[in-house]
Amino acid sequence: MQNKYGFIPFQFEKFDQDHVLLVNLAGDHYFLPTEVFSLFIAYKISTSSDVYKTLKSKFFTFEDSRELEYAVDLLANQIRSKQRYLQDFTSLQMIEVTNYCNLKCSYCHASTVSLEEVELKKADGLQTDILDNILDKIFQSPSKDIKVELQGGEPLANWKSTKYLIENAYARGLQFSCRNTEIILCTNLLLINNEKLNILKKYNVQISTSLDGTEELHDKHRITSNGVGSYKTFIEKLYTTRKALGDDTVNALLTVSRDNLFRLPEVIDEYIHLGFSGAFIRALNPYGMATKNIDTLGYSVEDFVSEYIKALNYIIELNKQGTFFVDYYSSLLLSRILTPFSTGFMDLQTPAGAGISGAIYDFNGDVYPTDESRMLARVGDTRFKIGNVVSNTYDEIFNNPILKDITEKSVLYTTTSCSNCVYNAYCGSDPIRNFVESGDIVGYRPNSAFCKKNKLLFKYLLKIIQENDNDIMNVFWSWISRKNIGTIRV
Amino acid sequence: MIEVKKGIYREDTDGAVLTVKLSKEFFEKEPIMQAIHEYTNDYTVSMHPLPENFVGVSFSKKDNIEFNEELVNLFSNRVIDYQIRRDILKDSGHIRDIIVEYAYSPIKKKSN
Repeated sequence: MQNKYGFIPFQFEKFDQDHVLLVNLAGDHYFLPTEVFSLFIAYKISTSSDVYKTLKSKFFTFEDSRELEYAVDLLANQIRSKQRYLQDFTSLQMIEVTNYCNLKCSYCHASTVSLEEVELKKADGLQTDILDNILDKIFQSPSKDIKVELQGGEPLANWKSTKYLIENAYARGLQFSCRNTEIILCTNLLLINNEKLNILKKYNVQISTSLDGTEELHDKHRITSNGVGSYKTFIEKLYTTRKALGDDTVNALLTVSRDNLFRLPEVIDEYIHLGFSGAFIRALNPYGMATKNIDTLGYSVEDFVSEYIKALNYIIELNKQGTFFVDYYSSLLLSRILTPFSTGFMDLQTPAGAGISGAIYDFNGDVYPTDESRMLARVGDTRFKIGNVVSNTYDEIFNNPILKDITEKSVLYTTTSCSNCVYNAYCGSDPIRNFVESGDIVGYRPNSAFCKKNKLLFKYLLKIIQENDNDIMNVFWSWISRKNIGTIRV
Repeated sequence: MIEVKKGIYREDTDGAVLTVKLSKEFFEKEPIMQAIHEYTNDYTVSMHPLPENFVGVSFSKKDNIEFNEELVNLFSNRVIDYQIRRDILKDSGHIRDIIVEYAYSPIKKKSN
């Protein structure tokens, strides 16, 4: 006998004692009571029942060819929207201006060279031929939105090159009226001064800096080679920068070590005290000094997720009480769960954002598909280098077989474990991290910290969504829309 | 031998190796292998044919890892999950291919 309805492909997993989570190809989700799920997959649900109608409205099922055609059309369009980043090839263009740094952070992922270890004049060299070639390649990108992110090391340690890149990136951006060009400077701010601020203001440069919490927590790791803490100078320069550029031009990144992991609410309070409207809570990644010092800095994935969730709940409560403060990582995951839009975070794309969402240019002109692959090169492993701006053309760099291999092997729908994961419509692949953890860019999920962390976070956020508390959902939507809760409260 | 779930049996363990028997009447090779993959970090797992239309899956301890009391139940649930996914995909896999092809095609394709 012919079945009365058909399935439109979906992933599922037992979510809790009473529910199975269903997620369709475009990421729409539904919590189905376990006993109803059993009936559903056995084609035994009445097509006139409310639950069936909901399943149909969310495109998990269909009854005739007209409904199927409509569902195919809609789901394909939703997938296309979510994969919009593929058409923005390559939006984030990072340049490592120098590998010299005036700090010697114990968790430094970039394996920088301390300024005190070298002659200062070396750090401030200017090679315009290489920088021009880097900008040539960047502006050959077909993307309409170009973000030029200057990083290091400490880019202000090589102000000549930083200034040259800012001025010339801005000028090139003006040549393309249909393009949005944004310049971001990743800096610890310590070397900032009025002359530099004037240039940053003139060219509308945004600032991304780092803050690990209170003075005590910040100075545990963000120190000079003499062991002197940087917090006091950082605060002084932060206020100077804001005064010159405006309050909303400076964002901060939080690196979580064992020292601040268990004190995240205190860290959040410090962020708010200093006028930040959000934090990106970043776990330690297995690169550079963070790997060498893992015994003193590290923690388990379970500890990170547990403390992250406490911090998330703390932030939610602050928002409910009227303080607008965004947890940027949760906001990113929520955008993926609750909206059909593409999010630009290159570490969580399928296929991977490596070389597609972003690329990084080393100060010597070498090109890598991700910041992390450049970090590997810094410690001697250049296997992911995809070319050099002087000796290779744009096509040679971005048609490089290494990049194609990374792209082909980072599609979750064809990856063992991920292809059947209920969260695969929200998740992504980090091939360089896979390589570092398992020796293979495909990776090995049964012991992947990246996989475990994201699964636990997706599950926790979906649990909150399932509970559907109006106040909390208002907070979530305020994060997604980046609007104060008062303007979106329903 | 104890029936854990329909078509899944647990054999007596000798302490070092735990064997689960699965009926081919209910379970195909791919779902069993997909479930096995999830346990390869903690156990050495092998799959081998058995008489009477059964397949055996044997778990050996790695290092000092003890057998989880729930191992057989959890593994059985995973095999069932993967078999259901496979069954659903048999009915809907062609739809997935159409959706994906359409999603990644040039926009103009629809009007052709």
